[in-house]
Amino acid sequence: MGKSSRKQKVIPPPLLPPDVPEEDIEFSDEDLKFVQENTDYARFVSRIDTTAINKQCGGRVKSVEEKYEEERSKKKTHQEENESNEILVDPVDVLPVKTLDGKLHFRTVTKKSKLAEADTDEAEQDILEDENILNKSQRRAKAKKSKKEAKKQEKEWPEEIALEEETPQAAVLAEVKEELSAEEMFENSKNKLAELGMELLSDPEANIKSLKEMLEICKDEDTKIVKLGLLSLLAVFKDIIPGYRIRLPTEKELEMKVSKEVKKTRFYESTLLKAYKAYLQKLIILEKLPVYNQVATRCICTLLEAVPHFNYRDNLLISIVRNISSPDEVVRRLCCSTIGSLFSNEGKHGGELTVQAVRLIADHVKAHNCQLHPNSIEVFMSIRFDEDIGRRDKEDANKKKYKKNNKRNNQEEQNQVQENERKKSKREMMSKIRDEVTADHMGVTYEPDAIERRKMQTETLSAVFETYFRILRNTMYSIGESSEEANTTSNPGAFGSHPLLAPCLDGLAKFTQQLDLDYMGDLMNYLKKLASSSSVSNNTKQKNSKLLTVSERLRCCLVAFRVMRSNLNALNVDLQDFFVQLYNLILEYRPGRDSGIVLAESLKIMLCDDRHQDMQKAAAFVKRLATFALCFGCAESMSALVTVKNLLQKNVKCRNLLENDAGGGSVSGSIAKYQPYATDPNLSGALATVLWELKILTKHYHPAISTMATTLSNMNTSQSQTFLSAVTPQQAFADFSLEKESFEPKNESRKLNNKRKRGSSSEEAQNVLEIDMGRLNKKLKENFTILRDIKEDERERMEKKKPLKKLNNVVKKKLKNPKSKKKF
Amino acid sequence: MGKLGKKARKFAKKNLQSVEKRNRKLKPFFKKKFAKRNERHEVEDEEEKKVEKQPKKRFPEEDHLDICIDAVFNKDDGEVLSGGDSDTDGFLDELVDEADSDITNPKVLSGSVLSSCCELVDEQQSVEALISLLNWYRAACYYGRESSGMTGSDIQYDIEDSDTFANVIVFVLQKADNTFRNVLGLSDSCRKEKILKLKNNPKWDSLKPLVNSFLRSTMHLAKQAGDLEIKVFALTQLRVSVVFFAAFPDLLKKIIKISVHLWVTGEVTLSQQAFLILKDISMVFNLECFDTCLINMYKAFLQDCDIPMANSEQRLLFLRDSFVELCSQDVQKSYAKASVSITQLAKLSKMALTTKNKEAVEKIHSEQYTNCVDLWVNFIAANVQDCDLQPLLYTIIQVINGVAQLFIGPRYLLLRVKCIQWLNLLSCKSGIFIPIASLVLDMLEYKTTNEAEKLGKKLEAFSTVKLPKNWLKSQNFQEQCIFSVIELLAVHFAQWSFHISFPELATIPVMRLRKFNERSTMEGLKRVVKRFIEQVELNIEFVQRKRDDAAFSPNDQQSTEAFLQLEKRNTNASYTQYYQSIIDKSLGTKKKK
Repeated sequence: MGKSSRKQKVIPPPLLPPDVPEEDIEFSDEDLKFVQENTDYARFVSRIDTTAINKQCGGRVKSVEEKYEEERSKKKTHQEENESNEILVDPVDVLPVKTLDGKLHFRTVTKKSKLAEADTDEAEQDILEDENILNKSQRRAKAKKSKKEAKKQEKEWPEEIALEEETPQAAVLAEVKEELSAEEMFENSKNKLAELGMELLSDPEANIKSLKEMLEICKDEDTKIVKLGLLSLLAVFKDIIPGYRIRLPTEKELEMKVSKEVKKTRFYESTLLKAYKAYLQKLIILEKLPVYNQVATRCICTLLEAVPHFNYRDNLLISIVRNISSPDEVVRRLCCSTIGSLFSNEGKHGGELTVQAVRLIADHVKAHNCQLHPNSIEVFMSIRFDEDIGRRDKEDANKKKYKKNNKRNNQEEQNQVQENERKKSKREMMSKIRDEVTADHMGVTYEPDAIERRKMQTETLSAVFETYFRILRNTMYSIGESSEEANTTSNPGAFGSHPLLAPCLDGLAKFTQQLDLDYMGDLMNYLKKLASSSSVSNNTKQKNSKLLTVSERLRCCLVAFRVMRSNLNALNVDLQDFFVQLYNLILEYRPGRDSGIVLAESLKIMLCDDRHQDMQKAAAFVKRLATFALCFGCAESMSALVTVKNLLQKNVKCRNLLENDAGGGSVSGSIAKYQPYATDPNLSGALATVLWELKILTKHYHPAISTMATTLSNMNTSQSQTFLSAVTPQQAFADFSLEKESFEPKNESRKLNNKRKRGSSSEEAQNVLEIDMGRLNKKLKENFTILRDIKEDERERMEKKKPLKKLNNVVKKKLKNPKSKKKF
Repeated sequence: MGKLGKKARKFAKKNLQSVEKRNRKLKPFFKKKFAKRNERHEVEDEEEKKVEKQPKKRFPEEDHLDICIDAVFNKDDGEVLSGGDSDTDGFLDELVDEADSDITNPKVLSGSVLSSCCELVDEQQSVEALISLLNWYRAACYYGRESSGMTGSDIQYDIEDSDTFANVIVFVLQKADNTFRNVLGLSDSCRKEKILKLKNNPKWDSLKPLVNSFLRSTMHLAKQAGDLEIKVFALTQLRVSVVFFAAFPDLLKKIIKISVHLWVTGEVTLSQQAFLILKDISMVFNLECFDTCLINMYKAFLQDCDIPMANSEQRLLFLRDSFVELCSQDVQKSYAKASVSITQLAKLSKMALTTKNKEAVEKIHSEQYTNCVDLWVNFIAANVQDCDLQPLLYTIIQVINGVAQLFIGPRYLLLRVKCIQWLNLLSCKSGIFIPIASLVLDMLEYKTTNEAEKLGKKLEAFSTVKLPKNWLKSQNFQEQCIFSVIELLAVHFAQWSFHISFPELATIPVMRLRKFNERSTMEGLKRVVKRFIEQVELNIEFVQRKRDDAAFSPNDQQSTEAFLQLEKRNTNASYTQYYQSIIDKSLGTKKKK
């Protein structure tokens, strides 16, 4: 490799000036004159050695093709072939090879294979040039054959070499060759794929057969190639699949005589469909293999997203739903987003796929007993239910659509009539069939009418709610089960204990308007049970992982309220239980474990949004929230205080809590004394108490909370009571959470008023050490002796060293001091 | 350069003039370098360390991950590093008659010579005698460190025996300062301005080199002496003469460096003495040196936190307290530094909170970070009553809350306890209300959340902020949890026990503790918790009774403030005593540890 690249870098010889025919050259008169006058000057021209120049400047002139050919072969074989196809062998580089027919050759085999390759290249070139379909397949077959041969031979080399010349070098060489050939093959197939793909894209009708070839490549053993093949096929299909569903002609239709064009189209469609089918089969098989899982899923998803109207979409959908809860993050995301886009772009497939997908997911959930990844249910959120289909659509919209359809029909028919005229084939049967085809065509391509759409929507809804109810029931069952038989069947699964509950609740809240009123009662019952679930089993000492968390229970309350709100409180359901739950859940809240956002949301929806609250209940919540604010961080405290403020504003009588009237004054309820530990807000007797909490909250370290507390305690006296607090508990929670804290130093250059110097004299007195002089003296002496000993030691060592070097002792002694000085 | 052979050298000398020239140039350089090596060694090392650390934190704003809490004051560094160690240090020139004696002979100090010198100095304040004494003193201080007198003088000073050695050191250290003052006519409590004015005093010219020599030698002794007590003695005596450093800014920098080093690394008494010197310096030279002292101490402290040592807990406590003491000398100046440092801490914690980046979280979960927080918490606690430190207080509380929020779970029990202790301390000292109940009560549930605990699978290295996993299951750990809960709540309640809102404050904790008692199976713990609940309920009852009698409303500022203030002074209430006993007990166990 290195060698060849070096060779390429060599600067090419200067090119000959462009060849100009002699007659084209014009001599000016002056030139002629000059030459004639000074023949001596021009003599050199006659002496020019043209052959030498030619040699120097790139030899004989080559055609472009030849140059290209040469370049190619140079690159691939590391040797140079000249025009006559004789092989230049560099004996150092390449050992002689024994060919199939037993002759020793210097690279003869290589030559053959190269030739074969050149053949294929030529074939491809030809294909590009002329579009003779009949001829093409032959050529292709030939090319394929030669390629196979080449492959075979490539495979055979190493063995032969190993057999006949078992020198280690040969083995190594063989290995290298094998590697090289593998790489080459990879490159080849890659190029091939690219070429085929480009051809297909440029003219699908003519090159539709190439699909098979590409599919063939996908059967390769190299995973890389297969992946590449799959992806390029995906690109091709995405582009060439028509905007309608293909219906293969029946046998009867096949018997009929048709025009060339029709034949051509039929051939095209059937080939496309067959190839597509084969491709999908391949994908669905590969999708189950871990190596190809991601690639295949990507292909499937992209296809379904791009061409949801086309044949075999059901199969695609099935395999997507199968993977919707895949443990592989990428695959799961892909599947979910695909289904989501199916739901949101119903126009592409007329809503049919929505029904199917929802149905499939519902079955999937059922089959897995609700142990799936939450994402698989979250996709329902992107379904859109259109309420108006039933009424208005039925009349005007439907008519419009009909008209539109007619128009389009006419247009198309006109086109076809024109075509027919041009072709001059007016057989009646033919046109009948065509009509049938168009009718089919329409049925597939265009939106179904309103009735059908409504039907589909009902179906979808029922599947969605079936899923949701299944999840709720499953959760309740698992809770009940776990409280009875403790840990016998506890396998929380890979996704936690109730993976689907959260998205299910979200979905219920969103689609509650679509829910039939008959089911509402059941739903509320379920929610009530779920919300109060853990208070039942609180007594059991073993805490069960299957119990619902505080956030989940809060969510249940929330959904119940949302359901009520969206039905305009038409239902006659008592929400009291949910308030009781909330009243107790506030105390079970743990900052790290539970989501504060959910808590803030429930405060907002359950307490702030209601215009009027029962006085006892409101007072109880005011008191509890104020107490709550004493124990938790700023975010929780602030959202609680905002709610308190809101409640106090709406319930004027609750402001009695701000006044210290003995026994709750005029509004005291049936309970005379406040019960802080009560579990029911109505029985807490909160009206009898005073909001003393505000006192300590005014000393809160957070300035915002302390001002809030002051405002609250002055609410009764201040005049401006009309304004409503614009901040919601959620907003307060978000604003005061630590993540939002800016931590910017407020005002750096502040002056401290009371700069203070400590009278440190008294402390100093304590710090002065009593030093034992006697001991110090002793230590000093010891230190001295040690140091002196060291010094003496050093000196002695020096003295001992010196005699070895010099004989003259006397001289050395005199020099001792300066020497040691130098040393250090 | 390899050494040449003899012949080659000869040849070179004869024919290669340039080589000879270069040799001549190089020689003195080497000589000097080696001679000064001992002295410079440590200083250079330190310098290198700091230089190494500098580049990576040059732009703390650019990349938040690079925030380094000990590097916030980098820009102030330069002045400290430069100077202070470049000067030479030689003997003083003595009077002519002494110089007449044979130069090559070493001068040997004997006991009799010394005593006569001492007498001269003592009684007549003789400067000449002082000069020679100081020369001997210098020789003694450097004894064994340099094999002989070095630059500047050819006279060899030697000391005859150990008695003389001890005497000269003790005498000079004890008397020198006094003598200087007497000669110059200064009082014991003179200010540095006076020293600076001395430049006009004619006596100063003659005395200045003496003072210089004395300070240098003593510093050397303090730094190099092999024995602890000698060092301590040298430092205590040096402290008296701190004022004289005013005339020698270079030496001042040097002494700061030495003292900081001794403060951080030294043994207890030595560390104390070094700190006293630093304190004196920062007091006397407030203008120039306060910041330098503070920054150097801060850095040394934080660098020291990372090195685990046997008694590091106590030592760090001492270092922290002394640092806080120093800071408290000039709150105005410390405030600026504290604000910079705390902002840095806050930035780090915010980053960790928002990104949950592993690297950032680990940075917070380090000794350095916690010790730094500890430092400033104590600083604020010490000064919040006298000065308005509100912004600092607020920021540090949020930082602590952030840390507590970041590390949930039983493995971080100690860190959480520490956080709550900080909050309690700040709350007690500043009188503001900091809610800690939820942080504390979370610890009650550590036991039950054990199985689900999936946090912290990182390194198992033992540190004071993180517990090894196998501890968590042990009964001892659970006991520890409950005891710390009770202890922390006791501190919290003790502070507010006479506040009008106390019943409400205690409501939720009491509920939670009751719930714990219902669930718990350990009888011993249950009893402890039950007793605590009983006492708190007594307290609640008391406040409630008093409150029922009161006629004012919550918005009556004055009466609420005055509520139960009288009772507060009375410590007879059983719950007050109970809280106190718990607090005392916890302090006791801490000391035992």
